[in-house]
Amino acid sequence: MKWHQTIAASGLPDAAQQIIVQVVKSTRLWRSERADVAMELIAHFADGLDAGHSIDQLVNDFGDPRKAATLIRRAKKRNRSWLWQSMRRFGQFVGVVMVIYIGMWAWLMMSSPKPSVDYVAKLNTAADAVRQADRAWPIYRKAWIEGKIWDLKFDEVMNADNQLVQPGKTGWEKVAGFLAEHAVLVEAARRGGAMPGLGLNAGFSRDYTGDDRLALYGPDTDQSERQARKGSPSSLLDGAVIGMLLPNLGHMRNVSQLLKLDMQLAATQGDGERIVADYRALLGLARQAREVPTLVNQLVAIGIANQADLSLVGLLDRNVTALTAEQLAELAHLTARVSALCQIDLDGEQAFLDDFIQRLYSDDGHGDGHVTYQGVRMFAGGDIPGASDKGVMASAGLPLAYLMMASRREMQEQADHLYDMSQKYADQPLWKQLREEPQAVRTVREMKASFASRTKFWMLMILMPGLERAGVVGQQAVAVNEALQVAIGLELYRREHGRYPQTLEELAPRYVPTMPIDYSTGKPLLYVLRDRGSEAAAEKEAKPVLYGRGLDGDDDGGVWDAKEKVRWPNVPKQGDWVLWPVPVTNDER
Amino acid sequence: MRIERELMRGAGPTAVLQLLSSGEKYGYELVESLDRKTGGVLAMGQSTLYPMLYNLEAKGLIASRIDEAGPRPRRYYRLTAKGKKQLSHDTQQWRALVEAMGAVGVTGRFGAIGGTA
Repeated sequence: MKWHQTIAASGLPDAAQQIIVQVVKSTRLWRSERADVAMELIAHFADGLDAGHSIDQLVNDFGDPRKAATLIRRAKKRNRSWLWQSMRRFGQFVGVVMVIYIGMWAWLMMSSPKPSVDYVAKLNTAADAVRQADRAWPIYRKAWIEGKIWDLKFDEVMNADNQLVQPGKTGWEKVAGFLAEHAVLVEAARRGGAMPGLGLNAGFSRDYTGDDRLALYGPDTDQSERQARKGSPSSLLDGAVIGMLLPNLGHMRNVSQLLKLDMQLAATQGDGERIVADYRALLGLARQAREVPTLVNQLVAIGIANQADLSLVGLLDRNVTALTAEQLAELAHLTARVSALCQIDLDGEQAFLDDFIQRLYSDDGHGDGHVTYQGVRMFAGGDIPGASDKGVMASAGLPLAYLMMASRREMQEQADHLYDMSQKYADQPLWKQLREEPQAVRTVREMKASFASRTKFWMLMILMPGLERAGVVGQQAVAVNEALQVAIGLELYRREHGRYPQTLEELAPRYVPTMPIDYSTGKPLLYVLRDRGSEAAAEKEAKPVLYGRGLDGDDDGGVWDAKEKVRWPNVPKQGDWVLWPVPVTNDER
Repeated sequence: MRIERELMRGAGPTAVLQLLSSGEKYGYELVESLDRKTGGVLAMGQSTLYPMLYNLEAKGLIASRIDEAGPRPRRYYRLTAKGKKQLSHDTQQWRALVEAMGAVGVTGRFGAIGGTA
């Protein structure tokens, strides 16, 4: 029976029934609870009547029905189960959290990122500063279009290990024809490499002229242009460093391969002048590749300069007679420029993160700010043309991102800290870098180990590039270069004295300006004269070997360990770090 | 004489617990007892009594059962072990309070709370 039916069937006077109905109804309790209250109040009034009281007196004594209903409701709810109480409290908690969350959301949605620094323009400062007449780009552009650089493939002049063929090896006979086919590119590299600057901005496809795009992407593969057309002009990524294109670097690397091959060919043809011209062009390319100071640009520059040096290292050992003393002296002069090309400067690279931060956060004008809807949406990939719009996700997650992520100031300070540590590490001598774990790597590992800091700095976790190898790559290239300078000095000495010096000290200062160091230990570079048994009788004199001690720090007599797995010219873990001539074992791999 | 609401808030539950210490009672019985034994001083409207009973039950100080054997179903309330403990504690508090009030001349030297139900 329902509670109101129970009341109706109670036989109580109407006044009592009315007050019971009013109280029970007003409690808005569960049905079973209302029935319980109704039963108790019916009993109350019936007992009162049985005790001889009038219905008016009982109604009067009962008090205010609305107050009774409120108090009964409150008290009855306290009697509900523990589970219900917990769920109620949880519901209240969720409600409060939701109100706060929505309030926070509304507050956060009022701000938007206002990128105020054009980092792309900053990165292009050096390229912009090159006078039109001093720019190599017009030379390259014309030649790259004419030589259809986008079709340049090295397959026919590669060996099974995917390396350029060496003189005398299978496939070498195709090199002359291959280079003749691409002569326009080689010739332009020699002319362009001599220019003071490249003068090509890193940027976006839409900023390039038609000829620029043709030279950089070819006639049918202009994906970047299609992307630029699709991109929304209001996109936060518009003009961002992260979207910046560096299409020239791949082509410059390819041209450097052509120059390397041509150096080798010139050596076999006894054309020392061409060797010098090609080497000079390679250094010019490396210098121009660094014009935009991102880490990628610097690593490409180091790669080109290092490949130029390695070509000379091999060439001095095999075809040194192709070079006159004057040409060797000129090469000695040129090689001294390489060290500057191999330095790592992370300021430009940090622009990438700094730019991302200014697009993710709002700006309070004092270096701080909070995450924004547009920024989170961009970070989630919603700004990428063609990607699904992440607007709802970014919007819903905004307060959560605000609570969990670092503020703009904290993020910027942590980014600065990591880059500072990375720069200090890269500036350390190679022998220290090889033996010490980078502090930045340790810091990032510690950040990853803690959920709080991992979440707080997740942008850095995702976007921060691994910088620890950059300095090693640069300084290994410097070590090869300094050994090459000594090798040139040794050859010049031999030509003047009819023999090699007994010690390296005899070279300074006429043939080398300073005594070279072993970059694997920080001690002086080692030198030994060794009889190479396989040489022809006329050249059977002892030949010099230049080497460092390697990671084990031991002098093993200038022997590259045949079992060493590290590829030359990286520093070996065991055996000696032979820098000149090229270790035989490496050739055999 | 009716007691002020704030005073009643502290005295009412103790009085109900005390009444139940002699055995289980139903709602109207408690109303009557409170009125009769206190000369109407602690008489409370039923709109206050029943919520108080439900609150005491929620705190585990009293328990209830429904008796359907009589002419009409009635809910009977009884003191729990926890309720007895609470009553003992409250009684001591009231004794101390009345004694203190007596000491400053507000009441007689010793009140008659407890032991007369």
